[in-house]
Amino acid sequence: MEFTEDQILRYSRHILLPEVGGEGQEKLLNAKVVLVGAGGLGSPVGYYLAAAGVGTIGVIDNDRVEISNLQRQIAHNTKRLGVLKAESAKETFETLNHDVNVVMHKERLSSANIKGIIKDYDIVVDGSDNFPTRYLVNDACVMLKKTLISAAVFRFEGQVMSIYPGQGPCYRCLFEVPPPAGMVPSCQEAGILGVVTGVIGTLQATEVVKAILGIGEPLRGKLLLWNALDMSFRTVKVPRNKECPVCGEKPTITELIDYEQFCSMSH
Amino acid sequence: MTRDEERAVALTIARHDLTTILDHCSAAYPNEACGILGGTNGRVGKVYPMRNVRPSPVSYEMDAAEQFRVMKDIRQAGLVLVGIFHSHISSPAYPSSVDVEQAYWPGTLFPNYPEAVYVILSLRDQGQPVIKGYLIRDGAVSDVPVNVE
Ligand SMILES: [Zn+2]
Ligand SMILES: [Zn+2]
Repeated sequence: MEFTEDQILRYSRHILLPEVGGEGQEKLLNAKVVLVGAGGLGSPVGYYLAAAGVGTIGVIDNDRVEISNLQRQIAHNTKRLGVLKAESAKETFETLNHDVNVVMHKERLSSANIKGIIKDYDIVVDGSDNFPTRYLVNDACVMLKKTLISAAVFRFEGQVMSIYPGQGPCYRCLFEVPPPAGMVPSCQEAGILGVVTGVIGTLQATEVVKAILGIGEPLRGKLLLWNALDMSFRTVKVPRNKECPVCGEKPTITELIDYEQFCSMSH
Repeated sequence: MTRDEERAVALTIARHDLTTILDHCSAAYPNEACGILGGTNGRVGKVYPMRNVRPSPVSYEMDAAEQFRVMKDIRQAGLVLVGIFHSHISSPAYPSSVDVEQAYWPGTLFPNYPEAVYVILSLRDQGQPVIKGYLIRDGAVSDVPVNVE
């Protein structure tokens, strides 16, 4: 692949890194990454992937931009209130970098459409705000053997885990089934400090870039926990669960499940 | 001060407060009972016996509204939540997998009550109740001594 003069300048700080170089930059330009949600997490992930020159970025979202999103969802802005988030994100990411093609999936993910959408991508980034989607994305990625960068945020905290199906644990190895509705504390309590989504989304983007370049140690078999109040990073080892219902030795989940939507974690 | 330094290394409880807990748990037998402990610096200042809205010999659930009132009372008294207690009917004084799960915001390892000591009173031998304290963090359970004064 021949870089244009503009590209050599644009990516010069990448190309200067021996671990990236022209070869790594080419990998980034050829990479296909899909974001589940263009909200608090999807915004910084998409922003940094676009800046890095990730050539194809899919955005799965069928919500519209609301004013209460703008405290943290930095891919959108006040002028775009009421616009579909997928369209708003496309505009933002492609304006930052014309090398990037943003593919819009203006759909609600379900067992019926998820495999068809993610099959064309190398890496899936979960920035969803609810349990049914998180489990659906995990299971679909395990079944299609797609690398998944999963994350969650809540109040002042965030967690990130990278799932390499067949090589490490999945989300269900740790949290086997979604909680019953009654166990979820009042949804109105689930506030979020805006910047927490920025930190966690940026960590997800870091895991994506490392995965594309094949450098460093991924958060495989490890759950990273970050707390904004005491600025603590902690890593918890997560073993593979032989009895995991989806990636274990005898999987009991062989078809995708649409769990009932009962509460959103509001991010 | 980091959160680790704030975390309890022990929970101290007065004998009459322990009696309150015991009486509440015995009254609910053979179902589990639960409650909240307000206090400061790892010392229990006030015991709040709570209603178990889903009475069962293997689990408990607090009433959200009652919990809200108690948390407000704790704040107004200048105390903090130092512990959450419940009884076990036929198992030892050790957190069950459900107890561990309930300690976190579902689907995460974000502790719901990071500073709370989880106190479990086992009534497996009713003549000889066993009380133990635990911290539940990062998916792991660690012991916290419960000192009775
Ligand atoms: Zn698994
Ligand atoms: Zn229990």
